[in-house]
Amino acid sequence: MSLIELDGFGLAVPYEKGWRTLVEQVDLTIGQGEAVGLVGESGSGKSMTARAIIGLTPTKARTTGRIVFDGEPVTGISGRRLRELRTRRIAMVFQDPRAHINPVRSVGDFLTEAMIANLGVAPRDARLRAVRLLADVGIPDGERRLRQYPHELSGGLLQRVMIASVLAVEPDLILADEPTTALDVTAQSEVMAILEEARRARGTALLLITHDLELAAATCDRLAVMYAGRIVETQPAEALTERPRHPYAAGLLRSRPSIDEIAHRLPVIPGRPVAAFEAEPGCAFAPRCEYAQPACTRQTPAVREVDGAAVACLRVEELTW
Amino acid sequence: MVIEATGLRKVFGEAVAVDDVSFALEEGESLAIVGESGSGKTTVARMLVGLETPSGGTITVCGRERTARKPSGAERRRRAREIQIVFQDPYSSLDKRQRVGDVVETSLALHFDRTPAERHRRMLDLLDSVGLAERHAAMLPRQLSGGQRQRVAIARALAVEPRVLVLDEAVAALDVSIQAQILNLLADIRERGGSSYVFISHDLAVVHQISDRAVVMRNGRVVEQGPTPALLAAPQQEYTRQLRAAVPRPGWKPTRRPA
Repeated sequence: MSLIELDGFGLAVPYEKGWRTLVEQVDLTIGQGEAVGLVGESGSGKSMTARAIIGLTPTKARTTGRIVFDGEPVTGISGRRLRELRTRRIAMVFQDPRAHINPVRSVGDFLTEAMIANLGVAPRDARLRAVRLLADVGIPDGERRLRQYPHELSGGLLQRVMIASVLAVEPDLILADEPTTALDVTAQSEVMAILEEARRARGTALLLITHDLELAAATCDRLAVMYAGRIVETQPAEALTERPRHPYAAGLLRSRPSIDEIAHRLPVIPGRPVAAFEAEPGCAFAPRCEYAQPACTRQTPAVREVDGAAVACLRVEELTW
Repeated sequence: MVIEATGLRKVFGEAVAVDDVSFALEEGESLAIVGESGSGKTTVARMLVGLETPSGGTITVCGRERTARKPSGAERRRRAREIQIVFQDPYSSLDKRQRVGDVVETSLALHFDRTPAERHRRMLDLLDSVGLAERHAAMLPRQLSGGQRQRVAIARALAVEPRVLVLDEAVAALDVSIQAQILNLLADIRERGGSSYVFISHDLAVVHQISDRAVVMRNGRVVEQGPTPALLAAPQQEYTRQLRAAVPRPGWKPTRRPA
């Protein structure tokens, strides 16, 4: 059984007299202990989708469809239930740790607060556990670190502190929203390795939200590619990078420069990514797609299963790369 | 040689940001300066364009050595025609109240003696060369996407017809599909004989695509430099190897440094 299931999920925010759609018809499941990468460019709705799982939707947003976590719906539940969910079962790692860790409280306060308040751990034990957690995420000398303040730590270290705080509550699911985008490549490698180790040791599921298809492919079991508020392709990670089925996923893979070979010019996707509310009728990607046909602009392609991939493209059977 | 930097050093208080950095840029060449945060790569870029004064060493641009003396207005304009910079963030590097056409025309008016009609035509040519249309000239930055803004910043820099374009993480904040477009645009401009590039970046794949030679920096010092393809194919220094190994690619597994 899947740990979490999004079923026809959609989200719109009020704009002037109407609504602006940001996410539409998203179907996504994550199994126990599974790592899923949700990949997309700006405006794709990937962050919005992930945040909706723990009820972090914009004010006055309207949601459609269902999100079910461990058999229970999470859309429209009471504040108390939501709090339980956030404190015990689903934890989030944000892109910018500096913006999400209180700068006037020490690292020790930050790490032990949730353990003391939510898990009922005694303060002394909480500090011991915090030191162990810091060691787990590769920060030695935890006693000293607990006394330090966020401004004394580099971005890479602070992101590890945030991951330690997430591991402290031993959640079933970690939502990581561009957790390494603000970090150097060597720190990124380390942070992803730490997340993976912790996941494997505890059987935690992961939803990795990222713009970096290569990073997601290398660290996740399955990938879902979003464009203009919809998931256009879902496949096991290796299969998607070897044989993308949606023209957008294929285009993204090709347009990224490679460290192994130089292209005279990169194969580009023309135009720019759009948000769901800016999209033309029909397939939102059609205006940028070199394979688009008249039919593509007339109807929104439904998601179809092809060779183990779920793809929203009218021409999926005939297109290969 | 368009740029020659010798023994560059920059000290902020007690911190040494750049220490004994030397490199050269040939006419028409694209040189990458690669490093992680704190490597000093951006400080080098800022010294090249005169936004920071070196604490030591020399920078020679187009045969003339930069002096620490405060340059006159005419001297500053002359320098601007030699070297221009495009910054990382296209949201903060443009005046939000200035229309796109004006951004480019202001640069043109400052450097060239042209009639308003000529200037307007040249502005449209420049917008066209970076893939923007005539209708964009009347727009404000907020009406443009991030990629379009970065094109405006590039057009503004090119307006001056500089010998050298310094690009400081100029594609880092862009979406993947837009990043590819801008990289191709930069390759086109250079192929047309536009200018030489100093390309500051942390992204080895991007550097591989855009540069002929690369300088790897760490903690303010040069670790290694050489032709980019060779440097990436067979890094000589352990640090360059680590950087390369940290780039996600098919079959890559993230690793922890030994504690």
